[in-house]
Amino acid sequence: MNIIEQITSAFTNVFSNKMRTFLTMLGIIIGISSVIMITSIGIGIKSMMDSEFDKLGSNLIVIYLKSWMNNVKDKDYLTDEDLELIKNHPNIEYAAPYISTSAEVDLRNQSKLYCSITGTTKEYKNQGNFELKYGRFLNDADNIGGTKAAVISEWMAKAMFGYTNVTGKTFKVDFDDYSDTLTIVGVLKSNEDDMGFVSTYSSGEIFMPIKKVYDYKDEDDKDIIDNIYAGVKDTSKLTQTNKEILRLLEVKHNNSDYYAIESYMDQVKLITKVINGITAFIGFVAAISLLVGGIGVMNIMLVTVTERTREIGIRKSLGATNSNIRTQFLIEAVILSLTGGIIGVIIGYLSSIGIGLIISAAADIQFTPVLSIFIITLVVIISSSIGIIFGVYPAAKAAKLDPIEALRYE
Amino acid sequence: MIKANGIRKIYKNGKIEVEALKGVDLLVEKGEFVSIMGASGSGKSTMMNILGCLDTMTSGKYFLDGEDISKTSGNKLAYIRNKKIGFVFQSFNLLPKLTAIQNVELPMIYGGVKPKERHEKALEAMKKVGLAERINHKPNEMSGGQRQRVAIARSLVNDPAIILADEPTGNLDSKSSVEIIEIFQKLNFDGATIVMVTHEPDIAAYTKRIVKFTDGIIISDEPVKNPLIAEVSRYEHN
Repeated sequence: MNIIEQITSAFTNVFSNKMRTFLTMLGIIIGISSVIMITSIGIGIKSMMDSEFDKLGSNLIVIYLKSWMNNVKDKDYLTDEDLELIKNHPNIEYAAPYISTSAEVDLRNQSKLYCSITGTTKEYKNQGNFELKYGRFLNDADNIGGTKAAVISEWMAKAMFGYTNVTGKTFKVDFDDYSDTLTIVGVLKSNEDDMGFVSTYSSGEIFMPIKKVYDYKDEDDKDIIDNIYAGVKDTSKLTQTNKEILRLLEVKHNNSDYYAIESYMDQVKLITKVINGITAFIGFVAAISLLVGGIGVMNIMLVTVTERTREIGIRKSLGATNSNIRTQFLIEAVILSLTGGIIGVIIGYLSSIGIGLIISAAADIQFTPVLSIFIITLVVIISSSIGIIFGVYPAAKAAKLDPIEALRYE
Repeated sequence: MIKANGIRKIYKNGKIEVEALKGVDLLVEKGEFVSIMGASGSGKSTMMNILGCLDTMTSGKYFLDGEDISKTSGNKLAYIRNKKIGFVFQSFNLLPKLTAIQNVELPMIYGGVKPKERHEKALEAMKKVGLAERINHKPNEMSGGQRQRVAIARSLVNDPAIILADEPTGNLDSKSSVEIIEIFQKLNFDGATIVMVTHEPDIAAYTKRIVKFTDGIIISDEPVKNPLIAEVSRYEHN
């Protein structure tokens, strides 16, 4: 008797009693569908986060002086030399300085917009989710000359000029006691959502050559870098790289524990840990329901064996071996749990899509649950194993039946 | 075909031992049609179970088709049941979920016969018992006589050395009984060896030889001088 025939015959037997089969599978269906639902949502959230952080630059680290510490001296502040030091680290792809000040600009509607002015270099565009709409970002020439070049965002251009292609235009920035006129060299793309009206709570951001921004700052702050934004080449060595950079800075400034490094990767890791924890917990609960489901399969298989005692006797009298009988019942148990598993995958995935839609609508984000091939394979293996584990005993019981006794069974 | 010597069977039930067969010798040649008769508890069913390789004997020798099966067990016995023995039971013992022809194919499935050949052979067997028209009926859509004919077709299909029939007419009315016997006689005429348990002398009268059991031994073993010829048409005339 070949395996295909055994499988078809097992299908016929299993589905000849539909209600019972459905109820037996229910435990497996509930267990598997909750596993699938949770993992699809979990993986979906993770991949959404990954892509969000990729936009921000997940290899980004931010280095700064813990300026709130006691006894911070002038020699402790970060400078251009530190920037060069960090740039030269083998695992660093780029490093950009960051300083900021604030000013106001005039809008077309006579109101003023509060803006932060970021002083940096051309490297800065590596770290952010910048997309240029017109013109260019800051370049080396801007910084060598300390020009009054400015990069603004699309919505600001719209609010200031009424249209967005404003490269080459000039505008005035007002500081507390003086003002300056800047030339726009680039316009950054804005979200559709941000293109609407500008409220009093809005604040703009203007990117300028760091050399020029120093001119707007106090004499004390000259040549001091607030933050250094750097990109790590190999993020798997992130922790090591961070340590090395801190060490470099400490040796150079001859101090200890004055600097800190923040990275998005750390945040990703933290959130991933939380999600993994939740997934594992719900997975554990689902595993219990799978165990209960498996016991259900075993229970019904035992009933089936008793009910079909006579059939077993007949089959044996016609030449079925013990292993023929055992295989028959084992296949039936596997079909029960595997079918339950497959239905569970479908229901689980559909509900994760449903929940995904709710999350997307509620949180105003684009969230798609992810059904991984790995999980499906795992489910198929797990539910087949349940069939085998909980089917072995009933099948062995069937195989061991004495043919004469079995034939006599009413 | 069957050569049994000193077959003893002792059932143990706790401390009580029951000797169901007390040393039975039986020789059945190829082409015979033998009735085994006896009251219940006489040992005839035990004998049939041993002959059918469903049960093992406590001691004795049993050769079936020249093969010593006194010591065989497990899968080998299953193989012998499959290839050498065709069973016909009082209660038909068809699988209710399968159609007639699927039931007939069952022994060949366990015998490893390929699907196409299996179907052809099953069809042929169904023709032999006159049910070619009803191959796709389920057992519960058939009369008792028809079901027993399906069972006979099933017993034939692997060309067994011997057909063992245990009260094949026990659940049938007299007309159907004669039909069944007619089929047996035809098969026997074509060369089949048949051993049939019955407690009805009327039915035994159609066979060629009657073996009587009492208390675990054979008390008489005689040929039937003029076996009746089973003809349904004649039966209907009477």
